Amino acid sequence: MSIALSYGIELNLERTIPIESASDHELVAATKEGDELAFQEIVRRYRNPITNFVFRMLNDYDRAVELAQETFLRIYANSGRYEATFSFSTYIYRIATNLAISELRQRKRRQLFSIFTPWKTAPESPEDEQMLDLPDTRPLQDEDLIDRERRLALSKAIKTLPEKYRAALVLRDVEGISYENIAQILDISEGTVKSRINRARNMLREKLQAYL
Amino acid sequence: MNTCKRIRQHLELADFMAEDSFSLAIEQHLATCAECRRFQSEMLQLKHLLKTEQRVSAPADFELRLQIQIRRVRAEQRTVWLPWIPTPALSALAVVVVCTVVLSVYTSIPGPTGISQDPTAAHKPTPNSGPVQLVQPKPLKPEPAEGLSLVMAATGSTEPQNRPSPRSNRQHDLNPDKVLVLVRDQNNTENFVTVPTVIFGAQPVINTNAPRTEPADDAQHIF
Repeated sequence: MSIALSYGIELNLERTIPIESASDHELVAATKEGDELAFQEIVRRYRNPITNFVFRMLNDYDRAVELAQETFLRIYANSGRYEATFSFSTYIYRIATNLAISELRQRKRRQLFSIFTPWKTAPESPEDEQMLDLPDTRPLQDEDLIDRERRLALSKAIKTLPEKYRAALVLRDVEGISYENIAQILDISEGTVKSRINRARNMLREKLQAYL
Repeated sequence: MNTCKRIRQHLELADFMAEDSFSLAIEQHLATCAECRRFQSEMLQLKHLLKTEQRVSAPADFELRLQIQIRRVRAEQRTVWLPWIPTPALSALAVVVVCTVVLSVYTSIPGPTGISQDPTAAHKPTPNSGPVQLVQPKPLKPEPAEGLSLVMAATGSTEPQNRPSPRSNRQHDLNPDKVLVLVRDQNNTENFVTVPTVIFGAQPVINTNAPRTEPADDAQHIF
């Protein structure tokens, strides 16, 4: 099934292309003109990567979906002001990164507040209990169990990384984005990106020593 | 030890390169150094773990929920339209409003020879005894239905005069104690009568039925 995307290009020429083969910039331009199908195509292309990225940042699926929706909402609301300076993926990942980092900071503030809560003797939720749990270094019998345990440990280890290291690591090693694009997303130099990724990897390696 | 540090930095910067792409020096070092070999192995495992991490997908109702949110935002945009006006347009509007207000205030302020809007101006003592200010500067027209009509004005002159033009009135000194009343009789003859200033709300009353002999001495017959 091929849905035609109609949009204006330079010199006021009109051309029609299949929506699947339209570039991201073309889709945003069509969205700016009020083309709902173009925006739906953008959502279809990026909903899973953005949801996955935010989930790796937060380790909270429901909140990750909410923030992914917020990301697309901002894309839609600001499509009129979008300028094709960078690639569209850089633009959308930057919005998602900012939302995720903002969420992490809010959570950190809430956690700081809970430290001063008096007479807290027992963990309030099973998640809290898991965070206090030390990794079991004894060998497991089942390979699936080992793998599951390792992945759980990896998720926890990523969660403990400082947000600036976490964003760079997830963008590079989970999402597979180039150093150059990560530098644009995080608005830092490429050297700083490499430095943060290396630091994050070393921190992960130390935390996951028992599982590697 | 320095070699190990350098090799590890190289391994990190190589971004998990395949083993066969390492330089000969690194390969030779890895063959002899167990620590660096372990470091490389752990990094490769970590890379594998991160790459094969199970990816989560957006829920099936993702687009539906997004559509609902977009409609909600659109509805809010329709109701709260003011914030969406571009700032330059708002600024231009503000400048126009301010200019209009300033102009209207400026034109309402009387100049040195302007006409006062204050009806009690005639009663206020002015240090410089400024020009006469007509309270009612409309041109007089014959009014057959009335026997007499009045036009009140403040003046410094006690003598009855012909009907002055507003310009000629401005040449007189202002006397706050007197009020000049222009009286028009049945023959449409106009005469000025000087009366004391109205105090405490008392209004001059003219008896149109009373015989009038000397218009110039009407001060006593007015009240």
